[in-house]
Amino acid sequence: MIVQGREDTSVGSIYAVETMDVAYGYTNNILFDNVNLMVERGKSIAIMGRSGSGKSTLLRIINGSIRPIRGMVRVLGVEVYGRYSNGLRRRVAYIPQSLGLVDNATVLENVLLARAADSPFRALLGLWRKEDVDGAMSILKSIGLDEKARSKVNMLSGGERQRVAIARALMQGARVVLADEPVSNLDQDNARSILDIFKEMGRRNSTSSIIVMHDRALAEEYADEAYMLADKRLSRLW
Amino acid sequence: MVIWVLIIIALILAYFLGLIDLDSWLKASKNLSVFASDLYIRYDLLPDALHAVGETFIIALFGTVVGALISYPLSAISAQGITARWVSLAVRTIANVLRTVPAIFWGILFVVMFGPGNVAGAVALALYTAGYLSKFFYETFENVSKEHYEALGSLALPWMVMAKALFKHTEKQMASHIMFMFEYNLRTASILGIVGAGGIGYYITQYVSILNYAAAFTFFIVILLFVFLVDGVSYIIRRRI
Repeated sequence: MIVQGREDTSVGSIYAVETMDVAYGYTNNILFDNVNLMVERGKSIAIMGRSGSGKSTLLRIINGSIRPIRGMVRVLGVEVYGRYSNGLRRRVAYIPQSLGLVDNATVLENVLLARAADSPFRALLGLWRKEDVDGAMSILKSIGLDEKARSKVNMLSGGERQRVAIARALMQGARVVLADEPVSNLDQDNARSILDIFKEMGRRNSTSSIIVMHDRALAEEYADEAYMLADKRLSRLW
Repeated sequence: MVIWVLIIIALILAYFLGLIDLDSWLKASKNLSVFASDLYIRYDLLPDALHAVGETFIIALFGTVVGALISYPLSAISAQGITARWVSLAVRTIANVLRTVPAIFWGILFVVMFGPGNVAGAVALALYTAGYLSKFFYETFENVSKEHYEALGSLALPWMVMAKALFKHTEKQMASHIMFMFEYNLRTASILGIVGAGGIGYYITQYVSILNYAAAFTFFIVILLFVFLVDGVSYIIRRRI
């Protein structure tokens, strides 16, 4: 499979993400325990739960940002030990609530940043290859942001900023997208259009997405599977 | 209770410093009245004073600009989360040394190296600014949320590109820090002349040494008004950034 011009070399199980008996917290204060999650490639998963239940922490563990106190995490068939190898690193896009965009940079610059690791000196000088710019513009067009390519991201609406973060994940060629409450602050129309993009990513590129969300009706509409993180346990809703 | 302790300590120290001596206070007030009678503006010296302010401005501007340029890579390497911890600690120590040594001591060093004049002051301020702005910059980096770092981290960016992205992300705060530093440097450049490192302080020191207080006062008033003006403009710009 070709993902944005690069061959997908990921091998391993049919699961994009596997967590086995994962626990996080302190000895006397466990946030969650025995979390088992198997996400098939191309599927969209919703994780719900009350604030403070550990949804964001679980995403960060899968992202390799923090280590669980117990259990094992495997992404694209490779075991994650707190940090990813560089090869695997770019296969996983993490979109936090703050989105992680570079304010004061344009939409196009933010999307092109996904290619900076390929040509760091070009990235430093801002001299991008034509094929990278064309690729970024094509992605922006597919999500309806091509006309705002030269706008600074801090001038965009919440929904537009969310799309830029997703466009960057697409440009990155991510096979797994971890999105922390991407639709919480959006109206229903905007929320649906964002979730449509995740769904389309799964259909076209077999990109799996794990989305933290609160709206059960939206989750029922869009998620292939949904889980509830409550009382320190992750339980499957459907 | 604390206030009484402070009062007693102040009185004891004043005694040992010779401040509880009526004669010395009488002599001091006499000197002050002589000094005050000489405090008037010498309009004939205004062109020279403006020229000296221009020199001071250039020293402060050079120090700020070059110091900022040096502090860009220093802060990027110093910030935790961008480079390895030992690298960040080593570079942070260098920045701390640059900042801890007062600008006036750097001035003395460069007067010895380059001789008296504006060059010594400009280089001294550049070094001092590099230390200060490095701290401001890396603290700004470290105030960026962990999640933000993690999101950018998932792009596997080399540290230089990561630093560029973070500079861009925080460029308004960075610009504000640079403006603040320029105001600070303008004041510091005004006193570097005391050790011969150029600027208006050099002229004021020379006039004071020949007891020409009116000339010194004229230069002092001109730099004071100029600093007020720059502070005001800088404040307006920083609010708009």
